[in-house]
Amino acid sequence: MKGPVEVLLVDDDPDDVFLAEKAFGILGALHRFHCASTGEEALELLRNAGKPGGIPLPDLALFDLNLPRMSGSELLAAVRRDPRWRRLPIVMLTGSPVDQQCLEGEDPRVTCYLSKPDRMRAYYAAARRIEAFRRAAAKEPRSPEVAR
Amino acid sequence: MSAPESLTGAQPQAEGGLSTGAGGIPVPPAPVLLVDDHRENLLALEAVLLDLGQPLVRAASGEEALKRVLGEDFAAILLDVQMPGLDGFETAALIRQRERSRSTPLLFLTAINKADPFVFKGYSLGAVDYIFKPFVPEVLRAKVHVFVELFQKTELLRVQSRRLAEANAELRRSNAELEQFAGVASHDLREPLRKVSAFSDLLAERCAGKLDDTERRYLELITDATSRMQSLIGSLLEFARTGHGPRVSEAVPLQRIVSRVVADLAVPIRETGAVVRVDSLPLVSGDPNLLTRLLQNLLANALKFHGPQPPMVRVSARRQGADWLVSVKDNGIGIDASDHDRIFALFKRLHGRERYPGAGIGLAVCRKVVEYHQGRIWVDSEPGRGADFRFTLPACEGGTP
Repeated sequence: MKGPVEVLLVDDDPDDVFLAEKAFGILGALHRFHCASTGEEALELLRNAGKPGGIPLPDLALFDLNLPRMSGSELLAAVRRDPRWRRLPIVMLTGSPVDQQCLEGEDPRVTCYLSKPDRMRAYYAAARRIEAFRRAAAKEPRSPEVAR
Repeated sequence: MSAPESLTGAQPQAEGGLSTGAGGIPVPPAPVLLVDDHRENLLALEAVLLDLGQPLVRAASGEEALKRVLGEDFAAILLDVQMPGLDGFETAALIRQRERSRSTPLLFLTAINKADPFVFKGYSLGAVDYIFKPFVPEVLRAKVHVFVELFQKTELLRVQSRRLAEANAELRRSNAELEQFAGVASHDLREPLRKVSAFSDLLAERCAGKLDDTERRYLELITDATSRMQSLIGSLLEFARTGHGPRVSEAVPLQRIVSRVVADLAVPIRETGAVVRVDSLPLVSGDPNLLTRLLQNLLANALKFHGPQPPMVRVSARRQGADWLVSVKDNGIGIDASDHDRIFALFKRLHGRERYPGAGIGLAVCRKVVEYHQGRIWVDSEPGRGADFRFTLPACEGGTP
């Protein structure tokens, strides 16, 4: 049996962090959240990930699009520049259902976009969708034949 | 002619020429420069031109005239040809050299240099007229009056175009502000509402079994009101953004738009047992997304506001000059004549939410879309006798019904 799913969650809103943990709580797989409230903090966590004293290597990352200072898209770009995180499944979260184009140039198999739900039922559904996305992404071959 | 008489005489002339420009811009004064080395000539000119009601500026020499044109714009310059020092021709040449007075109309006056070569020289220096003394006062006045009007019109145009440029800049600024507001509203106003919904749900989950019917109902009311607020913000944003994107004008097949809209409305059509009849529709010129929204709103309304019978909706079009007149007609509950205008106002609702839900934004969006296409929208209706929403759209070249 594999260990818990390590999730890096970057959101400056503690309510949203709480709701995300709640939503994933109903899934069978144990999700362990590592939280950062800014992009800079997230990059720092990733730099030491897997090292002694650092967070475990993440299996999934959730980035709020609307972060203070460095935006979610900028964080995404910065993370993807590091070869270690090229295939890390990343979900971009937004509070408003607009601008899908922020994912341009990203491989949809490892990056997806989701607007934050308002009802709990929708939260649970989103958590299930994200988990399915993570599993599908994890099965992807590690070869760099990334289409566009 | 006494002074008061000449003043009253000046009024109709000034007003007969120009009163105020568009936007209530006051007519600017049109000063006329009179250049003559003889004081009595200047006085005579003044007496003739007084009725124009414009400032008359004297210059006793070419040199003085040059000084004057440096600091002021004139509607016209009347130049005596024969002067000591700089004569009229030399003065004219120098006036022409200066940027500010390059295009000021020059009128030469002469009692002496009447021979053709002088006349020719005057015109070649850019004079608009070469007048022999003694002149007929009315004729001179009429000639100068033409230039006074020209000057005033030019000045008005200048002021208007400056105001227009300012208004455009202001409009661009306010559009940008609106966009910014829309962005802020879409995120920051919705954010707390999401929390209210989600935590109400969590509360309901945690208290499941512990809550009685009333308590559960209260929680439902909270979440209902919250989602209504969410959709209100959404609609308001949609309204604010309608027609604010980049301007799109292409050939739009209304037929295809309506077919798609009807397909999208399959559920309410099935549920109400509606019959939607779509006649042959033309190509129009416009923005396909906005026109889709327009027809969506109108058809959805036609299905929503039905009476006891299943809705019968008919979409048709006929040519009207350069436009198409499109009609979306239903057999629904109809609208009282006193509400025919009001229904297009933002947030205007005629019915209780219980019976006909909605934010009161749909028709406001429709009007905005039609006006964006330089069209007109109105309704023909009577209570209980259905409603016929009609609007005009610019026809597209080669468009046939």
